[in-house]
Formats: sequence, C-alpha cells, structure tokens
Amino acid sequence: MSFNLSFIPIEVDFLRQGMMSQDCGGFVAFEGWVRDYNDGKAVLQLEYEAYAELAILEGHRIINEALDQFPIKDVRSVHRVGLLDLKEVAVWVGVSAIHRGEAFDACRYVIDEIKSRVPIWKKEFFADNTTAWTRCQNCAGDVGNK
Amino acid sequence: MSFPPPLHGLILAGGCSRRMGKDKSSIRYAGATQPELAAELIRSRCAEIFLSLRKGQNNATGLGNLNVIHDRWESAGPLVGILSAMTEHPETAWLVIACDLPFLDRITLDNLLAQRDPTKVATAYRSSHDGKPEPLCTIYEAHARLVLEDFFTNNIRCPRKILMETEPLLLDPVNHGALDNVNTPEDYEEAVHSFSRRCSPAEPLVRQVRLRYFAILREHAGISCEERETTSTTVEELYGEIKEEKGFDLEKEFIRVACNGDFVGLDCSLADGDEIVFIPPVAGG
Repeated sequence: MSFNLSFIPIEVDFLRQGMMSQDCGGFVAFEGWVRDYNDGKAVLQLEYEAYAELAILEGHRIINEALDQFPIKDVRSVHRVGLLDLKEVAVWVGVSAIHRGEAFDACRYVIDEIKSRVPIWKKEFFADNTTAWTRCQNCAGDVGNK
Repeated sequence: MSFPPPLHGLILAGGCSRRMGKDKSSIRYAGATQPELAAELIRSRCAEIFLSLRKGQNNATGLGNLNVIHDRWESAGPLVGILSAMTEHPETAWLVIACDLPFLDRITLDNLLAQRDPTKVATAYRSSHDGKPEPLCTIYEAHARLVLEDFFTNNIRCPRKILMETEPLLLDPVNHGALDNVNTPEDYEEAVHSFSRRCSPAEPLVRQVRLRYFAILREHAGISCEERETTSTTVEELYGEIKEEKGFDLEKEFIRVACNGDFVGLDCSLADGDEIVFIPPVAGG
C-alpha cells in the first residue's frame, strides 16, 4: 500500500507489475489523463502543484481507509506534480483483491477521496493564452485568469 | 449536530475564598482579575462562556458582559455551580475552569480539548502533585449530569472524589504547575511575582507565525512563504487579516486550513511558531 507524488511520468506498467500476486483474482486501475478541453476551452497543458507533506499524509489516510473498508489485498496510488502535456497520466490508482467487486468499489473510493481531499491543485493553460486554477474560479471571481 | 458536541465554558467564581480573606474572583494579576484571565483563555475555544456565582453573589469579576449562572442550591462548593449550569443547559458539554488557576496556559487547555473523549463522563488532568484527578480544569460531557446529580443527592459533593469514582479520561500534565491554585495571601504573592515575569494579558499577545502559500493564493500573494507577527488568536482571524491585506477573493467558507502539517478547524487557536497553510479548493486527479 502506498501513496506518492511524482515529478516524472508515471510508469503504469511498472506499477501494475509490482502489484501482481497469485492470491488475487482481480485488479482494477484508474488513470486520470490530461484532456484537451475543459469548460468549452481548448487545453494545451496542465500544471499540478501539491502541498507535498500534507498531500502524502492525507493520501496515506485515504489508502488506509480503503484497506479498512473494503476486503482488498493491496492499493497504491501515484499523483503527478509539475507541468503535464496532453495524454499524460495525471493520477493512477491500482487495487488488487480476491474478487473484482471490491476492487472496483475501493478504486472508485480512493480516486473520489483523492480528488476531494488531497491538497493538490490544477492549473489549466488554455489555447487562448488564459489560465485557470480549477475549482477556485467559481469561489474567487476571475482571479487567476490572466 | 456535530460530534463531539460543542463546548460551553463555565468559569467558577463563586468560591467563598475563606483562606484568601477576600473574594478570589476580584484579585488581580497584571491588572486583570482571575475570571478575566480565564475568560480570555477559553474565549476562542468555547461556543459561549458563562460565569458561575453563588446565590445572590455580586459580580465583582470585571466580566459584566458574561452571562451569569447563579447557584440553584445553597450548598457551597463547585459541584453546585457545575450542576446549576448543566441544569440550565442540559444539552451541552462544559469546559469548567476554576477562577483561581493563574498559571493555566494555552498548551494545557489545547491539549485537554484535543485529547477529549466525549464517550467518557469527563476529560481531566492528573494532579502533578498527587496523581488524583484535577476536577476544575475539566471537560464535563452533557451525559455527566445524571452521574453528578446522583452523587449530589447522595451527599458526595467533592468533584475530585466523584471523578475518582467515575473513570474519566485522565491526562498527564503537559506543563508542571499549570493547575496550581492560589488559596492564601502567600500563594498570591508568589503567583503575582511569577506572573509579572510573563507577558501581560491586558496587552494583545503577539505571535510569530510562518505562512506558506500554494496555487491560486501563492500567485495572488506573489510569495510562497513568509514569517509574520500577528495578534490574531485563531486561524480564522488570521485568514481575515491576510485576506484583507493581500486582497484575496476566496471567502473563508471555501478554504481549509493546515496548522503544522495537518488539517485543523477554523477555530484552531494560534500558538507562537505555528506554520499555517490556507488551502484553496483542491483539484487533484
């Protein structure tokens, strides 16, 4: 079980390989990708910024909660920080379990909690040369749009 | 309702002060009465603060603005004050503070609140002198009322004795002597002497804090960290101060706060040396 931040591209195959186990009948992974549009605007690049100490602390809490709540074997997650290009993997969650149902449920739980609780922020760079901090805009007027 | 339930503060100022020879609630340290010092300490930690006085006792505490709860029964002693408050507000838990604890400090109080176990009758400190429960810097949960009433009707009125028989959560003292009380003129002389060496509570206490900024707040502030001196007592006040100064648009409803590396509530009190991070809405994934 682990939660980490990574400045370098996430090696999905390597992570999956590390979780393979003969006592598990199922493995579910979620990958969050960098998409080329948001809010009707073309996106060129993303930047993720983390409050690293607390992000790792909170990420580990979520991983531990998943292990407590679901009968799964292992759960690991890596979140990217820094500048990301389109199609890069921004976040990866992998869950192994004896049966698939719990693996799906736990994977969903972990990614949902990461998105809502872990202090990581996303800045979008749009094709029209504007930028925006996702989710901060509605509660902060147009701050961040330049 | 949130769990644990919110706390009301009760400052016990109804003692007869026989050994002191004058009303303990009116004697002063660095210009402030003991109940004023106690109120200042617990203000940011309690939803409401009440002053406990004897039946018919005049309020000589300097705290004219506080709600008063007079004892409902003639019988003397702190248990009557606590029970009177619990009878008036049966649904809340109480942070009970005697008014003769001039050495009581924020760390001791914050630790009491942080360790609080609402499933217990009470959360209290062990005396640093004899290891017995200290009943007058204590959180009494709402459900303690029935237990206290039971002892009261059976004529057991010593709160320390009651706590010894009700299995409260007992904490080891964090600051030796923080709960020493002042009963005699000699105690008072000693306390005043020691008190004058600390900063005066009449002046606002200045705390040195370190702030780190991330994401939208970092860009808006134009810096990623700063040291600053503040008179704010809670992180909420501090956010108001910074928001005003930097012109942040984010209302406090949208931010979370971390103190020294972990999430805290907006009501978290500030201590010297704290590292504070205001966390704008997160957007990982």
